[in-house]
Amino acid sequence: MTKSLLSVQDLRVDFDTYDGVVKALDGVTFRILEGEIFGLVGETGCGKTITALSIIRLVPENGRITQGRILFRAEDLLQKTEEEMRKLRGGKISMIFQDPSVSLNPVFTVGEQTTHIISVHQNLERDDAVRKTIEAFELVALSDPEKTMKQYPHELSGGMQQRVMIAMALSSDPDMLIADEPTSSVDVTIQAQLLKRLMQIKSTRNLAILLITHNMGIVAETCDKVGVMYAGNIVEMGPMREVLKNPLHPYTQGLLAAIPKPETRRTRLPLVKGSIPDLINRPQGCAFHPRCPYAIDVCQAEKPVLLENGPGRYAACHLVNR
Amino acid sequence: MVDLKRYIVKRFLQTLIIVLGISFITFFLSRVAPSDPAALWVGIHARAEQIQRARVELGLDQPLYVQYFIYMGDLLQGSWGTSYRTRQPVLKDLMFYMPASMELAVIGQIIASVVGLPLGVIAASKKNTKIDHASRILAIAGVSLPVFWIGLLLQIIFSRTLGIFPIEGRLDTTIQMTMPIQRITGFFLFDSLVTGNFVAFFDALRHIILPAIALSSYSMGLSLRMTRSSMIEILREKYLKTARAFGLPENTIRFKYALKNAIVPTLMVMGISFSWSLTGAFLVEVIFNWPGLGTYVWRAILAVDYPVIVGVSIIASLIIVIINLILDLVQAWIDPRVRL
Amino acid sequence: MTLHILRKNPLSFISLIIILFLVFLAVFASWLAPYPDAYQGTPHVEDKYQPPSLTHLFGTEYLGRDVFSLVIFGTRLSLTAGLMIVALSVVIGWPLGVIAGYSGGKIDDLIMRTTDMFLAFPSLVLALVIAFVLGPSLINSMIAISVTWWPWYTRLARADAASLKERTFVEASKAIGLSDRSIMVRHILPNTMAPIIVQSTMDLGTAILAEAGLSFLGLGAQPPTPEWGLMISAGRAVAFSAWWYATFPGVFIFLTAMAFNLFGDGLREALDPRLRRIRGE
Repeated sequence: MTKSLLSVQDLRVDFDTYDGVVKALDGVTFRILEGEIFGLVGETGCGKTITALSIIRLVPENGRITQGRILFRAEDLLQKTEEEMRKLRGGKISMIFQDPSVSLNPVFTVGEQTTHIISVHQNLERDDAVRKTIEAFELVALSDPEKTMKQYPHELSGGMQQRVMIAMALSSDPDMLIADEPTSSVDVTIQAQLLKRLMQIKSTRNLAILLITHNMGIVAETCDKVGVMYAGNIVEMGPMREVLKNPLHPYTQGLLAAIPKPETRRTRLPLVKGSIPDLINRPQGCAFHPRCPYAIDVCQAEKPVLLENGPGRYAACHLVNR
Repeated sequence: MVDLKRYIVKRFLQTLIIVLGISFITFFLSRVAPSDPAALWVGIHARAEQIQRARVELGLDQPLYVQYFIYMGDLLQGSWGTSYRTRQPVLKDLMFYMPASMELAVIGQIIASVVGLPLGVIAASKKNTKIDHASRILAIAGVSLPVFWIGLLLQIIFSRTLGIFPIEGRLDTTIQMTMPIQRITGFFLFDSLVTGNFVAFFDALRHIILPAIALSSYSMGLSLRMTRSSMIEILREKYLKTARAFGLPENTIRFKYALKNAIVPTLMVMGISFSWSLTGAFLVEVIFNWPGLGTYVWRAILAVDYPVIVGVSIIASLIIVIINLILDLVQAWIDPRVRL
Repeated sequence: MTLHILRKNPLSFISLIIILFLVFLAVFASWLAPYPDAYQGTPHVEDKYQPPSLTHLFGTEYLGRDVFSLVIFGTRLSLTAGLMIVALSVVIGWPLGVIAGYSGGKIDDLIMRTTDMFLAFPSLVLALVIAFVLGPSLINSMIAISVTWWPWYTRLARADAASLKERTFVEASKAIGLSDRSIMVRHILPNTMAPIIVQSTMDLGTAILAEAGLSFLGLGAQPPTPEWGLMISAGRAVAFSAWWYATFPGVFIFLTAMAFNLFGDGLREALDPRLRRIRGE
């Protein structure tokens, strides 16, 4: 039995804004096992990034984690001090972001930045740190690491920048990598290469990955498990193949139906009608019910809970859970 | 570092072209004025033929473009004409008066930076708090103060009423006579320190404080405002978030990662405010009777002394252009994106 | 919405009120000044250099005129001067910048090098020389200052125009067959208006300061015009005895410049889309 690495339990996050309090996360619960790739999917604004930032506790200033537990190897991250968290970030848990061109400091070479990170986490002499940097660059298949080290971020292509980010993230051999839309800002061929490399690294190092994306295609190719988020909740979760083949929640069904498939001869893509709800004044009951084609009375009254529906299969829907 | 070298060469050439352009402007201005330079040179009681002779001597009978070439040739050889008023070579006069203005501008700039830069950084990191609002008001007050008025007020309050500082001038006349400062650079503060003339040093300090403070108000406001806004931009940048995500300690992030990005805009601010200081020094010099370029060109304007007006314009522009060039080069060295 | 945000910033609101008050003073000067004949410069020599009192709030000056009335009249002069300077600079600089940014290439280079030249020139010296060459007067000093100011607007407009040039609507316009000139006038120019307006509002204060500076040096308004800078200059001679003559006009210059600058600053913060979202990103 693989051990549970990360367990997020009933995570709630609020944001203070001009217009009111935004309830961004409304009780997120999921679990990632060691060495597992967990895909977190959902449309923009559903709370995927906030979830990720909450795990490493880098929620923006006006955000507050109001409830929940985040257990990393049985230790609650929400109870740790800032200094303890700092050691974890980039050490045992690393996060990489979507657009590498703005995520790298423009006035330092990529080598310098990587070496900084390595020296912070692994008390090393400068030469050793430099050697580790080269190793990290080789790991992500950057050609000519020694030359690349001396270059500034703006001198590198988008794909190379992202590889540098991954190198930085993996340089201290973390147990888990959080990747927030890692391939959205590179084009498709690079995307495929990066993903392939990531998969290779994952198997050799038993690295767990929380992959955040809105692209179901990537999920299908890489993930072991998938969790579907909507308006700050996980609405469905389970082994990837099963969720894709047999989606339980109406929202998941809608998402999958909207993917254009070359076999179908339909002329129009089916839409999920409506748009994401106002997170300041959340709808009563199930957050999806205003857009749900199968909504019944109870959907408006009570908020559905994420219940097990088969081995490892979870759904938060009254219809499914009966 | 090839791109750095290329950038340096590019900037040098640009500077050359600009300086050339400035010489056009100054030359053009001097020849376009209504009064007759020849008559001025010779003096009020000149006769017609004396004026004509003067005209030939001064080369004023040649076509304009020939005059320009003669003018440029002279400039490059260091022969910048002779002042109608002082009858001294303009270049010599300029070299004599320049250090006084430079010293004033430098001290003013130091005061402005020492106050403005740290306040700007603090205001940015404590955005929207009372400190921030107070700083913004201070900055705007700084750039709204008429320099000549605040100078006058300072004189009235501190010199006349309170008697702490002298009213005008660079140095007490008694000290000038009994313990003169040996002239090495022309910067009184520097020269007196270096030669161990401490009495004169403190006297020079007393004299420079009020005018420097008056001068610094605008630059301080500018520095504060621009430092604050560039720090806000930088603190907001995503790469700082990434640095945090990788576990870098907060101190490193602030003082290494953020600060290095702040150097470039800070230098830019200092360049702009120093250029302003140089022009503002003019007004301050008039109020405090400071024997610098400002007073010199002021008297030249009153006396319609063209060679001086032209000479001062050129030298002031040259200083600004050179300072901007140096600042640009330093920026390019620190921030590689500038070299593009 | 801009007004709403502006009102949330109390400083900008106060400065707006001050500006409106000053405009009010300027327009109704003849009715508001307690001694309206001060404008004509009618001397009451027997009253000269009276300290501030209830009859003369700001005291009197060398001709015995009421300084308070003079300052009020000066409001009109300074506000007009500031407006004209900015207007002139904008009228010259803005189109030039649009042409430079849109045309690119050699035209851009030519215009920008010229701009750089003017910018490298110490503005005060240039303004002085021009004012001197044209002859000292209020109008000439305004022209002189405008000649040193237009480059700033050119730079601003050029940067904006250059980025607009890349936008698809420009390509679309060209595809329809619009001439470059039409595109510039009908599309680029209006779209570059916003930063120009913000900048010119902010510059009004500095324009007033610059004009007062030139008048102080004697190259702007001539006596006995009640111009603030000129009054400070005249007041300088008696600064240690009749301090009120030089002080009060300066206070007004400061207040006016401060009001415009504060307002402009608030305007800039309100219109900056990034700074606008103060809470919640």
